[in-house]
Amino acid sequence: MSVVRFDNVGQTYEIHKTGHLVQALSDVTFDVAEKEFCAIVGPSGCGKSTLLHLLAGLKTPTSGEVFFRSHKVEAINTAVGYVTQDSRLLPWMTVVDNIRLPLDIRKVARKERDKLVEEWIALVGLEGFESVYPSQLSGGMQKRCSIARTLVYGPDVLLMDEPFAAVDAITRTVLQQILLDLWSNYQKTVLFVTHDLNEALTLADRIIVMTKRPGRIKAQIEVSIQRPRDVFHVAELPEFTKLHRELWDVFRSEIDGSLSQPERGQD
Amino acid sequence: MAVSAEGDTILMGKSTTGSASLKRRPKTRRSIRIAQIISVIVILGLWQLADNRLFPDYLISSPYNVVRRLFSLLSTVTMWHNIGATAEELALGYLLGVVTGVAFGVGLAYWRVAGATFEPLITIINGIPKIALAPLLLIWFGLGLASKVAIASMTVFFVMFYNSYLGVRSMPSELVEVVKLMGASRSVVLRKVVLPQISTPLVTGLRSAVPFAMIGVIVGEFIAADVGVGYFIRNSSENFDSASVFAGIVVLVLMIIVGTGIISMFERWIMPWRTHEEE
Ligand SMILES: Nc1ncnc2c1ncn2[C@@H]1O[C@H](COP(=O)(O)OP(=O)(O)OP(=O)(O)O)[C@@H](O)[C@H]1O
Ligand SMILES: [Mg+2]
Repeated sequence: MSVVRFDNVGQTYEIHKTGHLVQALSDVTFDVAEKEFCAIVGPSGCGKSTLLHLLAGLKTPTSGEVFFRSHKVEAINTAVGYVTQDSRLLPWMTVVDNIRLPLDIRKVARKERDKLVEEWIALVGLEGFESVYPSQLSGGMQKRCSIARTLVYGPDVLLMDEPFAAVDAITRTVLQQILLDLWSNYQKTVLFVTHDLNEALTLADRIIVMTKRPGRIKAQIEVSIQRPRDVFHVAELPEFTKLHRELWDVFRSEIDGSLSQPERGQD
Repeated sequence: MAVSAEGDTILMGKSTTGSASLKRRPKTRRSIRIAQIISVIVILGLWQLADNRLFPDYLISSPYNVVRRLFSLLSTVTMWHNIGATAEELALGYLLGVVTGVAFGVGLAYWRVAGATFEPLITIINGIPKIALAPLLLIWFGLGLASKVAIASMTVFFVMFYNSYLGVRSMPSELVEVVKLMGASRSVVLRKVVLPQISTPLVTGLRSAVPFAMIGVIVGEFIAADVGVGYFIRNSSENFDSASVFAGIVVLVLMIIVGTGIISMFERWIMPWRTHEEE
């Protein structure tokens, strides 16, 4: 049964003041199955974040419908955990208070709560920064804090918008492994936006490739690499290389149309 | 666990020795401080030299005379009486202006229809130089304390009104969304997001309103009063006693410094995250 269903979804934004219309999404239809790890890639500005916003119920689509567990999404969808592209930490709360907040909201017992918070602070590598305010963290650290804040309360459907884009390569790999373990141990469904093709191949069961704006679905690629995957070495597998080429060919034809190529002669 | 890699240990080192990285610049800091002190001394010295040489004493007085006058004034009961009256008008005017300004600002920001209705009117009123209304308020509220409080609270009202109105109107909804997604109830959203978010523009307003309150009080005292530091200054100027005028101005500056200091303490107390940002 599918957890998420986008049915002919279109989204048009009206730019404030000028009244200029921007079509972000057009005729997007796809399903995400229970426990699936689904990656979404596409050029910048093609509407990837918009998709997650619609699913979280922060916006209603201009056309088409979005379903979550066969209910139409019409209000804020509290059943999903959403790691937004910007960190959105509460500036007046320390790192530990930010991460604790969803547990307090869910009235998790104190002992359990403190244990979870401590665990996640360690997992995202923020020990020693517990009582620091977000403004005193680097961008990548803020992002890690916001990842911990969402994962700590264990929502079983996760929306993640380029969660690892701002962190260094080693930390990113470690966080990818943590996410994969979490996903396989706790049977989660993940929608994962990224512009890193390697990351998409490393993590996902299926990759949805979007066209440039207005975003449509250009291709869907099943990632048949066996599980469990070892994120440190998965790129060395021959299937990985083959899929990477396939994915890159799809992706490049999309980019070629939008960027001019000054050095055509070199091809 | 493994993530707490090198990167962070280095960062952490930096943050624990954070004060050290600030102390790395004490050289430039100290030389700026020295330059500041020297420039003040030079200006005071030139002033002292100009007195009775370039200009007669009754026009510009001299730093020495001003300090002497200040101390002799501060030993009189009358002067403390003046200071007390001004402080009382200042505090009452400030409080009244803050409460009404915030109430209207936040109220109109949330009640869109009323906001849209009154906004042009309030913009027009704000265009009036408020001080021009002072004589009118004196007619309405008499020559005593009430009129000074009215003038001060009117100037403070507009500062606070605009800060809270625009502050609330321009508040981004992202943080509210995030907390709602976590499943927060209305009261949690209000306590954890809306109130702290509103407090930022409000406290900015609180601080900038202090000198405005002082202007209101002093103008009131200039026009008509029989007590207060503003009254004292005007009286002294009518007697060509420039040393007393300057001494009175020094008193006003000190009062504003104390007032702003109290507000800053309050700010640090209710918004600990802000002071971190600014340091
Ligand atoms: N609130 C908004 N108002 C107006 N236009 C918007 C708004 N949000 C997004 N857009 C427009 O919609 C398009 C898609 O935006 P979106 O943020 O979904 O892109 P994206 O695929 O996530 O891009 P990126 O990879 O750069 O994050 C963009 O062209 C953007 O200008
Ligand atoms: Mg995006």
